[in-house]
Amino acid sequence: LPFSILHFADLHLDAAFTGSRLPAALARRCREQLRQTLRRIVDLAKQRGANVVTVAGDLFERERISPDTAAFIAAEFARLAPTPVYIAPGNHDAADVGSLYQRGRWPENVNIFVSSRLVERPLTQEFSLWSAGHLSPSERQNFLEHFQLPPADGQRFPILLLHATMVPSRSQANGSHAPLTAEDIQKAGFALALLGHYHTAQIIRAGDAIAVYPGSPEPLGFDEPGQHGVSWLQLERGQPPKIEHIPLAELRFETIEVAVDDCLHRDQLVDKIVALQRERNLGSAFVRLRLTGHPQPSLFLDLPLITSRVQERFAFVKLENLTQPSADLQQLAQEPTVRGAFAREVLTAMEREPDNRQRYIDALAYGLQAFNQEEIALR
Amino acid sequence: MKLLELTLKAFGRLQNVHFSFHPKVNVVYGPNEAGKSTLQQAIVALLYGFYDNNRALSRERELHEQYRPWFAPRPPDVPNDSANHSSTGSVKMEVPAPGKAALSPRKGPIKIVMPQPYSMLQSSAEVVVADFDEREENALEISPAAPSPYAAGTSSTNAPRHEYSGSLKYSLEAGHTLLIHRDFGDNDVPTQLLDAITGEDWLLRYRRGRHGRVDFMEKQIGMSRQVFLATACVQQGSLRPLAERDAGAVSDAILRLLDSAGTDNSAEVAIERLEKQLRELGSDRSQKALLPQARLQLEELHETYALRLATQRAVQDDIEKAETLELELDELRHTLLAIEREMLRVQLTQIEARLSRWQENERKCEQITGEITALAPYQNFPIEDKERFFELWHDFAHFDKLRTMLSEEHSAIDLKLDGQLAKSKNLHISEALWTSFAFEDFLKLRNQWETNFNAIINSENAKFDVDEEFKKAGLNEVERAAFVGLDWPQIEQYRALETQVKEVEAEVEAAREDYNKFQADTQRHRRLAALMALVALVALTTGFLNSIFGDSNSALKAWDNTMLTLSLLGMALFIVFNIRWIARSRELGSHLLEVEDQYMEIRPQLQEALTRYRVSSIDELVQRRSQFSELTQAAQTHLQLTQDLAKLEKDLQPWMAALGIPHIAPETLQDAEKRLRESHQLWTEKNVLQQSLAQIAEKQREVEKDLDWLVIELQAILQKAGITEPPGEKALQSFATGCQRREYLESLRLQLNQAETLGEEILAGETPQSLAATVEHLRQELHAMESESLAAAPGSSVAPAMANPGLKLAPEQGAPLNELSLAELQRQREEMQEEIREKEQKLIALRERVATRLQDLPPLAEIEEEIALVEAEVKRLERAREALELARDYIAQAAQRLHRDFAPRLNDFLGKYLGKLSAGRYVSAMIDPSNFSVRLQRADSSAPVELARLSFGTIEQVYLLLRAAVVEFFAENSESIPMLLDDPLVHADSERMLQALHIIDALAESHQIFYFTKDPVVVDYFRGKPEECAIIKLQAV
Repeated sequence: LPFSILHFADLHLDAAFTGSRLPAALARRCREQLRQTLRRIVDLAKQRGANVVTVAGDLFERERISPDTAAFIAAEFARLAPTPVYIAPGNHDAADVGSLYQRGRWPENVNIFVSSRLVERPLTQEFSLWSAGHLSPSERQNFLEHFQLPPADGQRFPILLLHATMVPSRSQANGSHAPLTAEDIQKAGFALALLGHYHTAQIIRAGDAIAVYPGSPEPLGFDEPGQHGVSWLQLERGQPPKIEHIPLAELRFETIEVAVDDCLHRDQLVDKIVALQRERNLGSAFVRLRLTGHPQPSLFLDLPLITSRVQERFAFVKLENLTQPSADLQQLAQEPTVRGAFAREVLTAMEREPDNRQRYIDALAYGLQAFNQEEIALR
Repeated sequence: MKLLELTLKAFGRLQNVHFSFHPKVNVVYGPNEAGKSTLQQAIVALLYGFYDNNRALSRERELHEQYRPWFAPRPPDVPNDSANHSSTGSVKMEVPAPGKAALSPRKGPIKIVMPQPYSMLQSSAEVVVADFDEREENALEISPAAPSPYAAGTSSTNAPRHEYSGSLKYSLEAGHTLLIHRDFGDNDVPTQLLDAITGEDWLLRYRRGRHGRVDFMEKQIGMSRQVFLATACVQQGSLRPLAERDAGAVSDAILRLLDSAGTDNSAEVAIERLEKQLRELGSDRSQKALLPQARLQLEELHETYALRLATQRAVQDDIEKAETLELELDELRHTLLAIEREMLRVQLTQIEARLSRWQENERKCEQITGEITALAPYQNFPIEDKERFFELWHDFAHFDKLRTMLSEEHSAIDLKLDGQLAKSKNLHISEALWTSFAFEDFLKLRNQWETNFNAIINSENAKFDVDEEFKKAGLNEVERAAFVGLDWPQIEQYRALETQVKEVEAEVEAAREDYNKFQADTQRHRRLAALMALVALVALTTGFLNSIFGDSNSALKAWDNTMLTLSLLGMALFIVFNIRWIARSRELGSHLLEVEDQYMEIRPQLQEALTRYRVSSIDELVQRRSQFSELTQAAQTHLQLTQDLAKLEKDLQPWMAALGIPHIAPETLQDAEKRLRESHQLWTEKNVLQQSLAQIAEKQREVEKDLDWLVIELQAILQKAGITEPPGEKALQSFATGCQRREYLESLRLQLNQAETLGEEILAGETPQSLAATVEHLRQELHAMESESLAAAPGSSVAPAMANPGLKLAPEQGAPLNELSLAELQRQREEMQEEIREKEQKLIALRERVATRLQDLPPLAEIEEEIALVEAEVKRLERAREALELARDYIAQAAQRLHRDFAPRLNDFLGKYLGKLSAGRYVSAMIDPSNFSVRLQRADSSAPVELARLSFGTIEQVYLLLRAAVVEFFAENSESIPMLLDDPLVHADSERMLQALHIIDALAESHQIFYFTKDPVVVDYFRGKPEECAIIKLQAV
């Protein structure tokens, strides 16, 4: 039977969903979901009969973890016993003094790498795990910088487990958490690296070496679209590893652009959003709707009101007004009126300060709405 | 720009029509519903199309559809927004009525009116619609040359296909003539723009968009469709309501035109609206608006976050403390278990020891019982008499010894007494003496006698000396008698007299010496005085003689006079001194006589005393008197001693008689004393010996009596003890042995009792069997506990990676447990239990605190999320505020600049036309650039007039001029703009109408005018100027 590893990372238990601007109750639900995901991961490992479970850091957020969650983690991992669990702490769950890793009570089958130097743990007669952990949240060292595997004794196949940032080259590592390159992995002598840090699943190959980022098991915000889950690896001596990405996420974050040009009034926009929800089956998703295009003068983009009309159709919906002013700005700028002069001067300023483009667009939109007897909708 | 020709195949109700326009004024004349407004709309649509942007707005589509000929086929792809958006979903189509549609967008449903197509003829000069107005005889009426193939039938069923299209020819001041053609039937409005002369396609020069949008008009005349409509197109009757409202309305309308091409708000209103929005957002001062509220909320959230963080850290500390406590408790419990185990062990050991001790004790009891049996004969030995026996025995031995000693002493005294008696006989002194006299009395008398005797001897010697002395001193009996009467005070008086005599004698001597000395001095002085008197006399005489006989030498005379004076002075002094010397001499002489008399008086008294006592001086008298007193005293002492001695001798007489000594002398007395002393000593010793003998005999008797009694007592005890020997050493030995045995027996019995008591104590109410059972039970319990302790050893459940090396269970400090006493162990156990209780309570308190401290606070993540939300909102609002402020500022700047530039131009423009307008009454206008209020300067007054004070007609005309001015201003850098006036003076009376027409006439100098009217006055007015205008008559068919 091949040797099987369930590898995951970046679960971020008890994380704050600040980036997505979720309301408290929803964020709480998301956090609860993260715990349920750990439970599903454990179930999956048991169900598939994993030989080892590896965690490449950011299992929880050190500053925010509650005693309840700490006990929950220990209990879930204990459920896996005797299957060993190997944890390489990351920057969010750094194993500094006083951390859960240093002071908590862990089940016997849990092994935590609380050293910043790579150490070996034999997994079987054929495989061994090399790993190190972040001892502070600002760990910037390259764990592989001066590391070289001891001369192969032909006994065990070495596997690297790290929470690290894969960078194209060392010179581009500035400020990254534990940066390393694919070449570093290869040069150190590893053929397989189980990594964590990037929340999007990816497999990077450099020569014979393979680096696996399982991504976060659950997305943590709108910047993490797509499928999320864990990695399932099957290893056999002399065979390339079989790597499978198993989607597990219950949370779904989507960002969708909605053109409002053809909406004369907000009901049309609401209908459009509802149709979109049905069409793309977004009922359980966290959705960010970016309103684009040139709104009809009659359309008043009262975002709170529109949000209240559609929010029950989504797990969460958030509207952003990215529309452009309705008028033909170039044409308007030729108008000999004060309005034309206003448009002209704002457009000139916008060209002068491209960094403040959005501010000028907003100013144009407000100014024209003020001229045109439209309601001034805050953007 | 001039519009030259217009051809419409079909546009609203107009079909197949062609118009040629006059370059100055074109009066389009016709009744209501004749198509004047359609014609206007056609001109605008051909120039600009229907759409302002690539995106078709619904109102633009509506307008586009409004002029679609009803019989014209609808393109299949035309979206029907009205139908789509109908809330009822019915298919009833509502399109705007042609003809009366305003040029501005019009909303809302309107009824379908079946249009009546007009049959129109192409004409080079005028278009005449027949049967319209019979009065218009002067009008050039052109009949259709041939019926239009499209106008042949009015029935829709028979009507051929009409194209919703048209073309317009216009010329530019640059010299180009262009032809624009648009096909409105197609949704995309295919458009052509050709040079009418060369046929060049001008579309390529312009930006093209959807729906026929080409910005050639914007480029050629500098006006968008919207601006063109707002400025160059004056709507039907729009002047009067404006004029009737107030003059401010004119300013407002102009401002709106200037600011937003009239259709929308003025810059001022726009700024106000932005300001209102800014106020709603809130400034830093207003606390109730959106932004400050959001900021406040953010601040509160940050505070909550800080509190939560601090509390969380405190809770974390508590948790760590609790974990440490738990470990400590584990350790303590383990130690407690060890102590309890050790206590069991010690208890077991103790009970085992008790059993062992009890068995040992039992053995000892048996041994003692054996010995007691062996000593049974002594069990009745009178040990109670032991003390008494030995006391008696001690007394017996003592008295026996005393008896022997008394007997020996008695014999020795007897012997000594015999010796004494023999000595006493040799002294020959009767013993009777000692019964009546005491030897001490003799010694006393003897000593007194000897002292007296010696004193007498001495005093007799003294007596002899005194007499001798009297003789030596020459003191005979008489003198001695005189001395007897001379006491010491008398002597002192004599001494005082002697002293006085000596003093007076010295005083006489001194007075005599003074007197003698004075006498000698006086003699010397008298001689000197006499000499001087002589000299004076001589001098006097010489002087006198010289005065008589002498020459008259003045020098001599002077000398003589001097001498004479001196002589007289000397004589005078001589006389004076003589008088004084005599007096002094007498004084000294009388004093001398006085003291001599005193001396002579007291001297004989002293002499008489010295003579009486035969002494030469008083000192001698004193000496003699002292000698006399001493001698007298010595004689009296001698007499007393002699008398005392006689009495003593009388007292000594009996002693001397007893000794046979006839007289008393120092030698005899010495002998007597020696003999008496010896006898007295012997006698005293004999008495003492005799008394001792008596005492010893008495003691011997008493001792004998005691011994007898003691023997009886001792014999009684010995008999009781079964000892038959009489009291003695042997009996004593037997008794002592008996006592010893009996005492040992008693001690054995005591030991037995003690051992038995000890046995009971060891058992302590239990039986040996029950103790053995307890031992067995404890052993089992201990075994169980040890097994349990092994199982509960700490650290077994902690993973090696997580094990805390600092918290291993340590053994009890100090001595090993097994060396501690049970009490010590119990004390330790109690201490341990107390410590465990304390720590458990502490742990409970900590856990409660951990559980409760965070209860009322939301989790950190939630606060962070809320902060993120509010922060985003604050940023959004701040961004909005910035943008609103930016918009406001830009609008304000633009408005200020544009208004400032435009106001003087308006002034100029108005001034140019005002003269014509008012027949020279008003010469200039003044427009305030801040609010565009208008004042007119009259020719006959220096004070300007507010526009509001003028008549409606004048206001209307001024507004018309202002509109024209705006048009000119907007088209400043481009072509002149044709103005489309849709019966703007419809409400004016004929007089004002005429005035306004003058203005229009004047405007036509610079702008091509299209005047749409149904008023014949207008036609009449322009008919009078046929070279300047064309009249186009529209007539309903």
